Amino acid sequence: MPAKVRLGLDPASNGTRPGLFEEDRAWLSVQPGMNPWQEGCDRLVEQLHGWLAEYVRALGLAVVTAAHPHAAGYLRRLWACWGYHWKIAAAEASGGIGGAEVAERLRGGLGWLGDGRLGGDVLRDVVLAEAMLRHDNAALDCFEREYRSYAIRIAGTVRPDLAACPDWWNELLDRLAGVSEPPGKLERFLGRAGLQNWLGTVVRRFLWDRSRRDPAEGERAEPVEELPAPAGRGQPAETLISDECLELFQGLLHGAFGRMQPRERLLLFLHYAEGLSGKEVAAILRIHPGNVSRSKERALEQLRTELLPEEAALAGRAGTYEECLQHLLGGSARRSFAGVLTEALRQATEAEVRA
Amino acid sequence: MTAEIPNELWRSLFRQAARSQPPPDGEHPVQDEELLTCWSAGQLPDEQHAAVVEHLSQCSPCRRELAELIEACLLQLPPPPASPQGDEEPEPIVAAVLRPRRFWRRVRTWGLGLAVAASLLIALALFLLPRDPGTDLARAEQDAYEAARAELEAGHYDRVVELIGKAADQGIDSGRLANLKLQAERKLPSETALASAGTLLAYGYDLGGVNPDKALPVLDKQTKELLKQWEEAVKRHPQDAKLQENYGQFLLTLGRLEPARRHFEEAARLDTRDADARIGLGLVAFLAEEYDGALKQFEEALRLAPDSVAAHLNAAICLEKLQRPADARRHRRRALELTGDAGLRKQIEAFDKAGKQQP
Repeated sequence: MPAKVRLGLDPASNGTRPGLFEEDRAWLSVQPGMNPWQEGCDRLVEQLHGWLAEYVRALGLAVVTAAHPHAAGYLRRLWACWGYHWKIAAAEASGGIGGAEVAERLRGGLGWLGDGRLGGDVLRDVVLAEAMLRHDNAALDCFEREYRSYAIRIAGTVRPDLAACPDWWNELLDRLAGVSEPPGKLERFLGRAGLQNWLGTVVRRFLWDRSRRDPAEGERAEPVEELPAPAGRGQPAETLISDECLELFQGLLHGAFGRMQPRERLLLFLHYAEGLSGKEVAAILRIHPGNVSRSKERALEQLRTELLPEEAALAGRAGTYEECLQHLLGGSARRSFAGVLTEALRQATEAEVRA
Repeated sequence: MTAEIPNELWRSLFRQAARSQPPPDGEHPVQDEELLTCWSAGQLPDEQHAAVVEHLSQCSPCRRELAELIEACLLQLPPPPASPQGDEEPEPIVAAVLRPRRFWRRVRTWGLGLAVAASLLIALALFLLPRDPGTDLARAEQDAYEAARAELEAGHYDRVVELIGKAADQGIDSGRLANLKLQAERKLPSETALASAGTLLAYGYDLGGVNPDKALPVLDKQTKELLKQWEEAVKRHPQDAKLQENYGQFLLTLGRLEPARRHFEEAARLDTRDADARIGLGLVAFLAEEYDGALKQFEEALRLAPDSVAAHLNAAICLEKLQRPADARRHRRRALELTGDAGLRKQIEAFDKAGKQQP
């Protein structure tokens, strides 16, 4: 039986096939075995179908025949996973790589980036995820059997009592599969990471959200930070900056932020607004920790450069701005808002930033 | 007119402006747990990473959430790049151990009096001591080594790379520094890779010597780069036994058994009392299915280090393979007595219990 008929993916039948591979045509069409395009696509579809049958059998799921209305959903998810990793593999290999080679590695739980460990066979995992979203009892049982104890172990790293009393498990399962409130969290699971690794992040996040919602005894939410009174002076902030001036300066900053490069802007935000350490900022921006200070210096210089013309334009037009600035600087000779602000940021130590 | 406002308030002003950015429309990456998982594992492709950076630079709620996740230790940060990228160079600081800016910060913290006293002492010492560039360099190497080893053991891998990079900028180089740097690149918290990966269990085998899901070794860009660095380091410092041994272990993880064996042999030759090199040789032999040879190596390791849990456990696994269950049990018992690892204890107890239940 020809694959396209068997799968119900004939463009003429429901229009799924073009959507399945067309988006990836630019990189996919140059991979080994994909020329001519149509034949290559047929082979891919056949392969996807083969995996679907294999995993459905291995996981003991309800049978999904070619004519089954859910089949296309499973295949789309399988392709999203295979295609995602294949594209990365092709880029890493600086050229073409066969889809079978990619799949073999994925089935061994390995990808191409980082240490390669995905945390399981991602092709199997997407089939299980799709089945769970379809509330297949066998899938839910399988998931519970395979991942419950792992999830409980993870919970113990968030708070030991959560591992001792896993009363949250059913709620998590419900949220994952979207039983009482579709779509479940698994809707967004595409096999970019293995289900086990993904679950680690989800469990931590889920329990964290839950504990923020219902804090345990002794835990209290942190108060929301407002402009603090300057240390050692005891003066409330509003006596130093009026709402009008605050709005004015914020407008000035927003204008400058908008013109900064995203990386520089993010570096300043993460460090000075969110209080992350240089090491954490480096990890987020993928820069070497040894380069953070210099990058920060460059970003501050960029902020100053972007603020100066805006400030000059404002200074020429608005009397209020002059008054605000004079009020803040107290007649200091350093009358540039840009200069004073960047200097203040520059002088902040890591401990002050974190505080 | 008021006096000039303090720096803290300026920073608060900046913080408020940053946090009052209106969030952009569309998907928020911080809500995408799969993306966070990939990111955390260093498995996010460059283009996706760039998109995340772009989004975060515009989205205050996402930044806030990300910072909270990091602060609550719910999100592991991705490993930093192995070396400075592009045209960026590490900060030109005199030496890894000197760190002038931190020094001045500390001076401020301790107070001027202490700083002056310290300066006088240093000046006096410099005046009285005869200058020997060789001794200075050796001392600087020792300082860099101690500092880097402490950071490694604390799991501050990027700090180790940073420290050793700065030392190298000052012409300070040694086999043990190169070894620490490579250990940090591999995110291993010990000077000896076999300290955490010395048992066959770390290579996927169970206590019966079975490896149910043998994984293919990963040879990605990062691994290739590491391999290159290692080759260079061993070429530069061929007399460093630890470097040879760890290189052997690295090759072992890549399934390159013969080259791994050569480096373990070299490590054993350089340091005849090194039990780990014998364990490495035993691991290679076991993976090559030479169980008799492996057992000999583990027994030799036990002669050198009678309380080595890894050697007892590996010997037990070899003996299981050689159909000598009673001897195997004896080694497992000893490993059980010696180990402080609760997980391992459970594993051994479960294995022995299952063995007893068999007819």
